Amino acid sequence: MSTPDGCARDAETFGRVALGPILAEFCLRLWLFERFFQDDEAVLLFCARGGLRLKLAYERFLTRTGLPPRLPRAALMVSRLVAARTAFHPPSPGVLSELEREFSGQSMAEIAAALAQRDDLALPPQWYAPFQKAAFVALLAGSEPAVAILHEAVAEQDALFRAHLAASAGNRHQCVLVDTGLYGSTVRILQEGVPDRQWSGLQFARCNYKRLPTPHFPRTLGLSVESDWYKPWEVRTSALRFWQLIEACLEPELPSVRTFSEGPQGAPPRANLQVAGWENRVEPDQPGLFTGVLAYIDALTPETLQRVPGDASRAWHSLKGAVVWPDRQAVTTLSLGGRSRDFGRTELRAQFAGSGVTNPLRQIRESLWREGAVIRSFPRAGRLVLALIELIYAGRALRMELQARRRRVP
Amino acid sequence: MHLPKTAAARIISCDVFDTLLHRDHRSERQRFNDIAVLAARRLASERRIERHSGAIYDARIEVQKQAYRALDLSCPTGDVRFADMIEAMARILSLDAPAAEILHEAELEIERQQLKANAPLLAWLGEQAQAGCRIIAVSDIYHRGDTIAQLLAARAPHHPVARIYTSADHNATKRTGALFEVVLLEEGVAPAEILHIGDDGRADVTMAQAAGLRALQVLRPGHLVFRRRADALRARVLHALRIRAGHGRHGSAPL
Repeated sequence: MSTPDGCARDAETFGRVALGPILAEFCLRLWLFERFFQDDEAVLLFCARGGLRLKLAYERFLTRTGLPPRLPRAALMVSRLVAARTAFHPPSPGVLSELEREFSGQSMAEIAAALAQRDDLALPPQWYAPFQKAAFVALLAGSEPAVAILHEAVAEQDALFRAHLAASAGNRHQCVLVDTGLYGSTVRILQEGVPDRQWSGLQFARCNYKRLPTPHFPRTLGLSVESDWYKPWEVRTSALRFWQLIEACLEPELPSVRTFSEGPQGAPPRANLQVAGWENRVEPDQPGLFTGVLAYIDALTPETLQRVPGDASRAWHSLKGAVVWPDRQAVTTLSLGGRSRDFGRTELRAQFAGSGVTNPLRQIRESLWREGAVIRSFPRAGRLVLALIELIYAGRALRMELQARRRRVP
Repeated sequence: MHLPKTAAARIISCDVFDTLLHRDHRSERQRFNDIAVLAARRLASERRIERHSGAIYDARIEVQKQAYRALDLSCPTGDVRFADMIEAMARILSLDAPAAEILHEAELEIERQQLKANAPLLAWLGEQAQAGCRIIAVSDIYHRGDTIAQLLAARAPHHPVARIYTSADHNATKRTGALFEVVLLEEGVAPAEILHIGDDGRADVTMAQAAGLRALQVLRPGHLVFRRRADALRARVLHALRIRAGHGRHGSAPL
């Protein structure tokens, strides 16, 4: 059993050997993309929070390999919550889809509180009914003082974000968002809310796991993974089996962007994420997955750049081995803290279902990483269960592929 | 291939690949593989640089894929230039400029080896040229016009083509109609005075007609199309097996 320090070192090793080459390959593809992007009025906007580490990794990658950048880069303090405020009067189809999925079964008052980031709105009783698109739109059109306060709070925050966007993107109309993934809600909603700019998304992975409409997919690319489901025969899609691992590696210990405040002395507005010294907190100070990634990238040179595709190809197999066929060592190494549910909420979801759940099958089903939970619950027979899970996934993927193919053929 | 006795046009515009110059049954992936093998051999013998042909092949596929995806988002009516792809390939393969030139030459060498003149069409075009028709070539391709001129000169030395328009030179493609606009502007004739001949249903027929040109489709035989698809599948499988074998040699990364 690894000690906590040993576990951190194991995570760093995994970061260097597996995630390092995979993210270096992402950086290489991002460079190729900007190399061939034929619009000089474009800007790469790295989205908080995962994008901030992608920016750091990309800048290190460019420095080490000597590849010349072509487009300007900037950090964009954005989240789905912030994006939703840009398309709120009235709520766009993208915003409504997102709210319906994220707040399923929750009240419209909770949504209002999240959007306004206020819990003193004193909304009329109808707002405490479960969310429904049409009802929500109708309630927003109401003239009650609390509704006016909600609109005012959203508009105020939206104006601050737009000022931040203007400072980050300048006059460049072509905004290319760089982010981790998956569905690309931010691209979709910003295209609806800020239509005077052209929005595209370059993500580590693109996946319509939400099964929502995808009008933004033609302009949203998954540079490393592009699939709507896990396919056992496509090694890259194994990242979708434990997506929280990628998020945990790339998201710095900084809060999700929820609010903006006026900047000091005429400076652009600042997000709640931009606490004192936030830039230094993008790079972790303790060994872990991301320090391993940076160690791999820092060791690159223009002469060794040629090794990245081969290293990445092997690394994808290592990632799949660890995620889909984990052993006890992998479960210990890849243990993460709780993951944020986000969209203006603060509650966390645990990687493995808590001790309150006694049924092991339920524990597995409710865990973020089911394969890891299998090995935890069934240390001896776990491999057999994993084989069964893989078989089920293979059958499901084949069915989905056939259905998708049938839809494509008129 | 059924050609009319006379073109009844002032200008005959011809697609290049699979129209003026025929490719054989090999798929694009197989061609890239052949190019990679030749480039690896020449890099080793002429520059003492060891690069696995699989790495060169991967770089070619990767650069072309990302380049066209970037183009689709930024300039969908434009095209990528081959010189830019070679420059990017050289960087990701850690090669200097003379080595990049070898990549370039290997590509053209394989193209020369695998292309064959469409003799009946060229003979007919020669007759039309003698009858006073101007013959031009219009191609959606990442190569420059002078590269196409070299290929035509190598495979059809007496071709009657007076001018070559490529999508790479004009950053405009036939498949979006933009290259036909360039042709009409440069040639200074009415659209109906041009007969365009090509193999691609969308680029050479639908878009040509949409631009007002008359269009004639010359199709490759069905069995050739089938053989190319089979060859593409074979190239994919062989490449996947080669990658897998490479993993076996290197072993899995330890956790």
